[in-house]
Amino acid sequence: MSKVINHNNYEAFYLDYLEGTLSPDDAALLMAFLDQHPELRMDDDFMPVLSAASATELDWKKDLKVFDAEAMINTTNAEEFMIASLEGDLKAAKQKELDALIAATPGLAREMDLFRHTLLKADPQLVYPDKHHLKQARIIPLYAKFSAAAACAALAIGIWSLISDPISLSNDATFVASHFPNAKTLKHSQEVNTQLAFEPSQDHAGSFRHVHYQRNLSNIEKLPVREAGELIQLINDHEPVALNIQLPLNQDLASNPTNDSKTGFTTIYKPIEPISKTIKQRFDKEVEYAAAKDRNGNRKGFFLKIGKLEISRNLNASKHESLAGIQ
Amino acid sequence: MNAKEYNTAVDLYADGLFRFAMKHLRNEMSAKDIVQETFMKVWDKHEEIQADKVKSYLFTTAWHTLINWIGKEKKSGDFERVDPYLSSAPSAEFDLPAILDEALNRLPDIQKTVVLLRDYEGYSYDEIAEITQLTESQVKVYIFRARQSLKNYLKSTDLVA
Repeated sequence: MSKVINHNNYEAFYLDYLEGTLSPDDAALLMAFLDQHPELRMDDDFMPVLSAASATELDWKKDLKVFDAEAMINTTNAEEFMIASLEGDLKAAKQKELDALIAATPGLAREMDLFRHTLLKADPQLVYPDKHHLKQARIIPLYAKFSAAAACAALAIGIWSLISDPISLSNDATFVASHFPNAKTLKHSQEVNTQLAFEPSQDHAGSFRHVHYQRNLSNIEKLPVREAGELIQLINDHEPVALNIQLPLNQDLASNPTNDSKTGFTTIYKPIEPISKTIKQRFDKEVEYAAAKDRNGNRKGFFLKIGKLEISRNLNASKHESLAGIQ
Repeated sequence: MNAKEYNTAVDLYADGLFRFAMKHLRNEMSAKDIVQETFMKVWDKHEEIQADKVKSYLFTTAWHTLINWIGKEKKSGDFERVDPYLSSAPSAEFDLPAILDEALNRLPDIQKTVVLLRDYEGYSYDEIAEITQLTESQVKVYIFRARQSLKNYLKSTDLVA
């Protein structure tokens, strides 16, 4: 190797030094270079012991040498062979040679015995106390937070796409008036007036129907149910006298569609199903939704699966009322 | 690696990792933190890890986590590896495990690591080299020095016949 150590080649010297293959002269050059550039020195833990104190105690040149497993065993190198023996690195012939030397040399047997005691044995009593906390089920909640958020986002997008394309909802009174001159106002409750206009889909038979409606926005928060449920509620609760239009309803829209022969309206009892089916189509993922009820008919919980994502929840009594209007 | 394989790895290796961390830190709370952090990191990448490689991955991760931990603690100046039980001086009675533990505690971290991986987990030189990102030659050198140091400490106590 070159006798000039600089920033470009010091790593090679360093590596050889750590591996014990650097000559003493080059090692001295390396040390001098590192003294000039202490920022390049590795942590002490990675360095061979070279402190001033240890240098006097140990033959550090010996440390730089590599173990020669074929060398003749003597009292000078016996320690290396003892450790090699302990590690199972000695060939049978060398093991015999070592055993013979130990038997013939006073004190070596004790040294070998001391080395045998350096083999560490794990304490079986020292165990991790709460393994179940480490398991996947305990880590899931963090993951589930994101999953739930993603599921909500997917559901929201799905619902949005559902109502924005095949079913149109609009709060714009001008839009409703100009496009649906036959729109009528239905009295939904004491405080809320809702203007509804229905027309069959113009796209193709069997697709979702178009629904436009307008509400009194000042009282919108008083509506007891959400958007989709509200429409169903209105259809169910009121006499749609002025809107005698037969809607071409796809069977996929609802699991139990019923046609009212008197009014010509179709009632959707389970709006979640068409929503989930639309999400399934849009995202090309399996979508399942199921709700549980207790003996009194109150909602007890729900299960939602979108692709591999599963969300379930038990609802407590206080939440039953808030969800009562959601079909 | 799926969740089932991951949970099996917890059952198989959490104790070994805990002992590995305990021998370095000598503090149960810190050792538990290392184990938790290690498993969390592994779970984060569980889809990329093959089940048959998980042990090596766990110890590699634990080793890096330990080194970072020790580095931060040293910088903050409040590094406490002291455990009242573990730091007690070797008894005058013949208590080899306690003496060895004390001797082990005196080793530099890298020597402690290689000898623990060798003795506790039975790793080969090249496996230890992979975990610690050393060369095989370095691993052999550190094991040699660790054995020498441990033997010399045992000898100094005069407790081993």
